[in-house]
Amino acid sequence: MILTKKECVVMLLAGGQGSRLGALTKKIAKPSVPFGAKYRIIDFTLSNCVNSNLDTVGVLTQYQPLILNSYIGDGKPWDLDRLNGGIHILPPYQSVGDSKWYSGTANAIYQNIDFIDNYKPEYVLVLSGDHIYKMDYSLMINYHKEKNADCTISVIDVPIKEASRFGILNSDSHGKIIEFEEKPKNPKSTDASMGIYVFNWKKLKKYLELDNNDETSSKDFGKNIIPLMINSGEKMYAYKFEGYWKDVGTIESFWQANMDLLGDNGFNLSGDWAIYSRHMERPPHYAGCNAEIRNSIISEGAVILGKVENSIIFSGVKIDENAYVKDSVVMENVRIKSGAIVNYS
Amino acid sequence: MLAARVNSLKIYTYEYNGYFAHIDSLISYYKNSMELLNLENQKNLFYAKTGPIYTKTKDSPPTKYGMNAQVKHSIIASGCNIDGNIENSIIFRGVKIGKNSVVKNSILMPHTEIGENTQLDSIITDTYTFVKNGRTLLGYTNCPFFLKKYSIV
Repeated sequence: MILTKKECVVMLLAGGQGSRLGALTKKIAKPSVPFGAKYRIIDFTLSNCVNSNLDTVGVLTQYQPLILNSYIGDGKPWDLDRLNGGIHILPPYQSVGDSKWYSGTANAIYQNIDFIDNYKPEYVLVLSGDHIYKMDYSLMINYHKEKNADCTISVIDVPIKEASRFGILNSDSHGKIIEFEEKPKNPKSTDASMGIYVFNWKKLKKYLELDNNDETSSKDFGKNIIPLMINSGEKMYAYKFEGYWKDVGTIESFWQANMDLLGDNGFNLSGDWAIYSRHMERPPHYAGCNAEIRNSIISEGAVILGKVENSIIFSGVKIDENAYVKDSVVMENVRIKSGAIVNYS
Repeated sequence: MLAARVNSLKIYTYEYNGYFAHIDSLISYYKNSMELLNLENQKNLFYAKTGPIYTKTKDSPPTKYGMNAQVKHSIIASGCNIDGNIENSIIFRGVKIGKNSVVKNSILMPHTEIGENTQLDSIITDTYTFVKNGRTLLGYTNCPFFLKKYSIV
């Protein structure tokens, strides 16, 4: 296969189950969980890619990929239906003498070395498909080049109280990483890894192969590859990201991230940095004679006859008269009948 | 042409029972648009068995209502930002309505922007109309007032 060379290839990890989201991810992978009245979680990462002028994206799938696959389709909503590059779904596959599931985040990339090599990239950007944020990756890649780094990890300042829930990076005054601690009891800094990595492809390939030969490794970026590279003295830098970023790994944080869309709570869906989604043709939404709608986000095709406050209402939802929905996220085509009161759901 | 040949050609009628509206003037446009506020008419047009009505949609964000928003008996498209009071109106995509503004019996076309503390009754705005803070614009339901494209009031 002869393909156009690409400076940077994006590898998007979308195979995780997201078991902490409970029933939400029973049938679908976490990146395809609906979010914010008309989006799915993966829309944010994919839109960030196109908005950052990155047009070659491999999506690594494994857990319940049916909806994710059909949702991504040819990638047209994100302008990723390209002749050269574009979006590619990469499930685990069988090969001579070998057929393996992806056994970890690093293993998923390892099994797709050939895909990346096709494009002969200088850099590989590794992303997770389960975060809500708007980020210009091209700025991070520029930083990586300026520092002449082998690997750059994006970090965000988290409250010290929460720091022990994250992978914490300790770096010197130039941003050079000296230590990585996964969920430390006594964190030395508040720079949490966002799970966004830029690698020099040649270096990453070397370490993926090294790691793959290590029987004891769990083939994970955070647990194995990153510590291995730090210990080997590679040039690792932390890139500070300032802005809204939310890991929607639990039901609570998923709900909170939805609530953050309301008012001026921190994250705005409109604006220059557009978030794209595959959307269905629906009529505009309708508010009835006795409807009350306050501080809410409402999608197409919803019919609101009752009262809605501080809530996120997806497409095709019907809220009958005398029903009251408050502080809730109501997903597609749900009907809330007369007399019902839905609170914190 | 046909009328003159009623006797020589086999011409039949075909009965149609669905929603039908003929629009040939500003008044009929306004009247028929307002009829869509009736849920029954919406059902017959938007949710008819013959299938949905397609349009060239933009992938705009869902509509956001602020703390001061009130909305009654209205149809609202996506991509709007509403903090005012809307009644008996049709709001197209990307419309902004500031707080303490009251919009009644009106049709606001895409990207109309209404400032704060305004009052609009029986107004039709074309795309990208801008109504400044504190303005009062009144038409009459028999004779709605029309603001042309890009007008600033």
